[in-house]
Amino acid sequence: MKNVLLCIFLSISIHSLAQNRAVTEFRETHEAALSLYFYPSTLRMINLERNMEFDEMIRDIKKARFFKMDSGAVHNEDILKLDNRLREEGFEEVMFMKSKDMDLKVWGVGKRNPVLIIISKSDADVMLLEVNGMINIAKIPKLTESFNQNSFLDVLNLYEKKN
Amino acid sequence: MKNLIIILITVCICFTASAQNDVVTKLFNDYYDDENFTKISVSSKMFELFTEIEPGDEDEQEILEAVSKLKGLKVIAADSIGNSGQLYTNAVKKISGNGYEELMEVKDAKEDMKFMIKEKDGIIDELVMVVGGNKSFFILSLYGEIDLKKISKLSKSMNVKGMEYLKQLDDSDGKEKNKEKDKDKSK
Repeated sequence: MKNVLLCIFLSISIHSLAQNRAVTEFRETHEAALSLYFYPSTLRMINLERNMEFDEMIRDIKKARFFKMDSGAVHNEDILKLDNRLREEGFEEVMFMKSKDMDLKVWGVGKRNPVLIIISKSDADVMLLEVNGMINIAKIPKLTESFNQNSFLDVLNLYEKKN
Repeated sequence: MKNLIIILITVCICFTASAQNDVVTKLFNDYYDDENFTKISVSSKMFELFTEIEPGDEDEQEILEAVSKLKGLKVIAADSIGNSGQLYTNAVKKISGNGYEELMEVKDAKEDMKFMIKEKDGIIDELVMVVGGNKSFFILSLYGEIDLKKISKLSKSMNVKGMEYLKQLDDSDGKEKNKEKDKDKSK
């Protein structure tokens, strides 16, 4: 399920190559245990079996940034401040999920060249994903089948194993 | 007097707008702070983002068309609660008493499932799915302009358990058409 969610978010759309200021400031004031930067070429690298559906789905993603932080280092007020900063920058809350294990919010701005920012908080960590570009959701059914065959490099699990 | 009329019209518009989806929204708010339930809400802006995607084939086009007409989605889900059967009964009672028509019901040994719709001028503007039993409870509300025939394809992309039952609508529709064709032939 996490893979599918990550896949959905990575597969949503882009335009501006500029990094979002609110996210950058948040990153500067909170030490990240894991930072990943994806460009079209590096996104394709996790597609170990050269799955055409995945390549099609990420075709319009120009850039993505992912940060994972220890939850103890990020307070709820910090996330509220980030929410407010994003709102000031014209972002709208387009989705939220609230569960026992995790709270997740998705902020979006733009239509033809959207920027999406996903913030998730669990007891263990806070994850921040900024996607500049569009994911083709119509490819998700076929892609989900591929994920079940483990034909992708799971960069998050590589981090888990290292620790 | 003119101001009063304007205020009354505004109030009426607001009331009509909020009447749609209000039962599910109320249920959503009821369970909002309960940790046993997962709550998901997706706004129309999210669906708008997908309108710019170029479809690769007919299947993708149908998925994207269905998504682009949606105005929102709400989900309430729990998978390990003791009184799921009671929650299901209460939810169905609350929803069906508020202008929703029953579309389909599926009962098996483990779970009960009910699909309800709200229709206006021949267009389905809300689809509600309620599932209960076997310690699980699930409500999904999709609102906007809904084409049931495209929803089963959409359900694949949403990866939502239970919506595969909507495929039966297509099947039963097809059987009815075949029956009509057979009747025409026999004439």
